[in-house]
Amino acid sequence: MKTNKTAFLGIMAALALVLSFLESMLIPDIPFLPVGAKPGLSNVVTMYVATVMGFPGAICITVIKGIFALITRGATAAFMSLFGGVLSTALLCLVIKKRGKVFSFIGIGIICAAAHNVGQLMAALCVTGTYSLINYLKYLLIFSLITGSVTGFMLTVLMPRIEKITVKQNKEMSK
Amino acid sequence: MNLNSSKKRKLPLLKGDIILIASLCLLIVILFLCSFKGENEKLTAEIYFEGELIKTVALSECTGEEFTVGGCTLLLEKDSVSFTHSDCPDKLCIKRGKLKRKGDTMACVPEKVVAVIKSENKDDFHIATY
Amino acid sequence: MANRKRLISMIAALSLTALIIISVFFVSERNKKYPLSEKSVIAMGTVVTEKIYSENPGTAIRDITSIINGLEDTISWRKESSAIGILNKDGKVQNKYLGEVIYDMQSLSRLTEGKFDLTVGRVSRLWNIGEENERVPSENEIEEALKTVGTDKVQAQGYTLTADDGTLLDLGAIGKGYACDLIYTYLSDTEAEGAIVSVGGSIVAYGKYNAKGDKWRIAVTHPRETDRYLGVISIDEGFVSTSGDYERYFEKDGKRYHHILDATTGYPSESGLISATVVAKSGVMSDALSTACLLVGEKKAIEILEGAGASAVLVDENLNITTVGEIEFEQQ
Repeated sequence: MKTNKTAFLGIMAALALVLSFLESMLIPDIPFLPVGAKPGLSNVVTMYVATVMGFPGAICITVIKGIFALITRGATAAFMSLFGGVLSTALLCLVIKKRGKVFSFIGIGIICAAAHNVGQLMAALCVTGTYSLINYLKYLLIFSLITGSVTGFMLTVLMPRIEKITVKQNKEMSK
Repeated sequence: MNLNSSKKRKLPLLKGDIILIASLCLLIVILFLCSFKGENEKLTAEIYFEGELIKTVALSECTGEEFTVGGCTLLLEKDSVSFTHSDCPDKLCIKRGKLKRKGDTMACVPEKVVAVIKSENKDDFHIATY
Repeated sequence: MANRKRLISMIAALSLTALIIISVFFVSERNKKYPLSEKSVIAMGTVVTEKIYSENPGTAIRDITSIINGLEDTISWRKESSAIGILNKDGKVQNKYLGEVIYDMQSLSRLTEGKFDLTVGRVSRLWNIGEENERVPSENEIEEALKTVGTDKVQAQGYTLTADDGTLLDLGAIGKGYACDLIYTYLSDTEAEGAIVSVGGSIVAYGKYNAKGDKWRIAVTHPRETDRYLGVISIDEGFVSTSGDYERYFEKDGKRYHHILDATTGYPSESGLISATVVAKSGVMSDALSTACLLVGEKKAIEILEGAGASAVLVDENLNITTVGEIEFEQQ
């Protein structure tokens, strides 16, 4: 069922890209936060893919997002996106096993958002060489708490419905 | 309509979530308490006497010098300015302690001396032309 | 099978992470400034700030100070033994570099219709602006002095400079720029990766201050509120000089007399511009052009600047800012 997986990933990646594109269009720069800090709606996609496909699938989405950033916004943006994305995905996959046992999606969402934002901040620090950027950390963490909870909550609500559809499809396919 | 899926509609937070959120909040509070002075933020103190600015001090170059104006003596250190002596009756200026952060101000009203901390933001250039 | 796949994806992830970490170090290294050695001294009657960005600054700081002090011996009209002093006294002197500079300045004189002229020395001495005996000379005195002023009054032929009787040369308008040129030449022979020096506000930027090759950032002083900045100019290597009516002046009877004298009238210029910051390919040019801008006013200044291939930031008496040529200027 390799084709299915590729197709699936393709759709998920596209979805992630659309979500991140949309949110950058609709959401203006937030005070107190560095330019480029976003709610991270596409994390919902990454979290979902991690749940059903594990690390390989999730890292694919992250890399594709990075490449997209490279093409549309340049090397610095790609560097920041990759750094935040890889950190976020790595942590995500470490905790995804504990889903339902220790962490709910909300906690996982927070971890994802925080890791992504912290990763991006560290990348920005390196690129600009201005260490005073670290002042943003406290605001970024507060922001991640909120956005992570939101994305986590969204997935909590969506998950059962997706599973229902998937189960339904599997049933139909095996008929 | 699925009547059976009426699980608790309130947030299904698990133990790990709670610990996570709590530790993050703690971290945030700690970060707020220690504001990181970047390499660009060197402190400057401005001292006013009778309404006029009489001295601007680059505190980063100070090592405990004393400066006297009016009936007050100020102590200039690398990261702070404080009143150490005053002829005024209430000594409120001395009680204020050390002025350390950008915007910190203290005045000795009877002696008409005011000290303010400004941040000498090096404004990110190498040199100035004039 | 699943285990193999898992292994492959683990390796892929690890190598990606490693790649990212490596690029982090690479980027931060490129951004790190070379070690800075800095010193401010008083030389040539003004404040000189030297910043050397290099692992091996060597004796650069000391050497640069010597160069500037040495320059005084060549071009100061106050020193009778200097080349200019001798020229002013005897009417003749031999000096190769000086000859070339004077020749170039004569071209600029013609472009400014005589307003800019190094032979304005006799008039400068009447005013003495910035000295203890500064005063407003009488019209007669100025008229008399103006008779010794003009591009025809000095000739530069090869190494030889000759000047008419009574004509005095004053290189004040280009002295600092001249020093900048010498400093640049000196730095080219050292191991320093980058350096930026201010000679009384005239800047020479040499090399780079980090491996990435970022541009030098030079702040332009506000002509009326001198503890503020108008903005920041970004350049690769180059020379920047500023002339303004606020640098040296005195006030009498409510009128301000500044030190930039119009060689055709003998009085401080009133061209509408109060500050001109010029970026040019040599120190002498940037210094001379900035003075010239203030003498001829905005319209003519733009012409001259474009002809010389220089760029600038001009400020008029209403504090309107105009940029000329290709210049990266971030206004504050």
